[in-house]
Amino acid sequence: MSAADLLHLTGNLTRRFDQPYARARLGELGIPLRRKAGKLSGGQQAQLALTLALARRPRLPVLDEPAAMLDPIARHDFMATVLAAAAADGVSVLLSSHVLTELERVASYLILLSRGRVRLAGAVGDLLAAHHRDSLEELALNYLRENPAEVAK
Amino acid sequence: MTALTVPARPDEEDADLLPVPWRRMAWVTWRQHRFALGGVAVLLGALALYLWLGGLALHHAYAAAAACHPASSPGCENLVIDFNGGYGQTADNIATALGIVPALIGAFVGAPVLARELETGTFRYAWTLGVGRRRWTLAKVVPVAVAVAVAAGVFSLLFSWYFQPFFADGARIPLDPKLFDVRGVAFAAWTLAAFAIGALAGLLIRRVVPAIAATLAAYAGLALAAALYLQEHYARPLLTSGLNVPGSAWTLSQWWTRGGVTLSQSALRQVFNAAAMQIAPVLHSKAQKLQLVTATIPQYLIRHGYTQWTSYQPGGRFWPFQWIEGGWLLALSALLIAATVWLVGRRAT
Repeated sequence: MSAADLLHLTGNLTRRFDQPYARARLGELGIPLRRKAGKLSGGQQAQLALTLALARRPRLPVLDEPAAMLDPIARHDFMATVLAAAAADGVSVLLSSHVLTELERVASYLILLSRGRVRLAGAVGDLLAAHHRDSLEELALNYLRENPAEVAK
Repeated sequence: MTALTVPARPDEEDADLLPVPWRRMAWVTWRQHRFALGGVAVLLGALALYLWLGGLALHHAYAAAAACHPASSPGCENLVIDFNGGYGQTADNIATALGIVPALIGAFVGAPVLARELETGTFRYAWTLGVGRRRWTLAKVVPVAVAVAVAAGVFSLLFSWYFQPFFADGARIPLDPKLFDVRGVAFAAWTLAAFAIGALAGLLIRRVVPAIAATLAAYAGLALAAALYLQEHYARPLLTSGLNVPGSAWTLSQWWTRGGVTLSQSALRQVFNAAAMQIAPVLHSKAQKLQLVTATIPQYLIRHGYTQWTSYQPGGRFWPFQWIEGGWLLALSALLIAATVWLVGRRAT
């Protein structure tokens, strides 16, 4: 199926779908509508998936490892567009990732999960200040190392 | 990656309570299955063209044979024999070939209808959209099922026209299982059932090629069982001890008795041979032999205290039998499709 087919299909199978928004967004990103989705690059596929999700006008998009399949540059660009789109729509995004440096750029609130439990939760700035750390990676690694009992449990 | 969305913005809450309209899903069904439906159209269309051209020649030849006068002259009889032999052989082959068309539609349209999405994983996307998976399944399965059944129904009308001369001249009987299943409402009903079997097999097996194989096997078993064991029991067969079984009757079995005792096959052969020696020890032609075996010897035996019993279904039961078969196949198809939709709603992922 082409990208245009996917837009049409999703539009027909959902209660609300912002077709002009989706087309405009793919146009801005330079993703050819007639190309088969399987023939798009990894970054373009991720953008297409994000577009399909955002065009449904969700109040809270939940993105589970959205950039996991992408190379570093594509990942950087993808995260930038996620932020821009979220800001433009005025919605919050719940994003999961293993790449802490990536989250540092985009996240305002962090929930650190380990072994299915919440370890840390709070605004990113507050957490860094409270633990006297410079980066999220440092914070998370040190926190989990300093509390091994909690981790082991 | 995966992306889930929590739908609804407060100001548009109402729109989310309304289901996605069916007509919007119809586009998706068409977009996804247009090649399969196109394939059915091409297959049946090509067969229809062949039947139509062949049918014109066949009807022309039949009209010539029927118009021959006097009908009992050797020339005219040869014309009818040639017609039944030459065209009849082709027509029988076509009837046999048509018998597998429902199986092909079930296997190549029915089985992939769900299995392809399950095999490639695209169902995960479809099932998380607003339409809901049960409505999605209904919207895919029902229109395609109706389309193939209607196409098959129209096609069997054409075949009935094509084959009509062989019923008119009494060379074939409509209740013959091979012809019964490809005419009337039965052909459409078998096509529908094959499609429903394919759809369910595709859902259960989740892979296209094994689902195709399973569909062919299940369909073959069902069609064979119906032809061998079921059709003759749609109504209690008639029993006659006379020799005047109507020509359009579907003879189920025939046996001889004497003094209330049924003759075995070997005993019957001995009796026939003995009678043949009595009546006409020397035979001059095939026609003479046929006349002897079908009429002269039976009449001779009846005069000597034997009775011939025939159980049969009269030709007038064609349409009642068609509705019985169409009815149970429709019920079976509805049940299979309902089971498919129900199972789609139940399975975890």
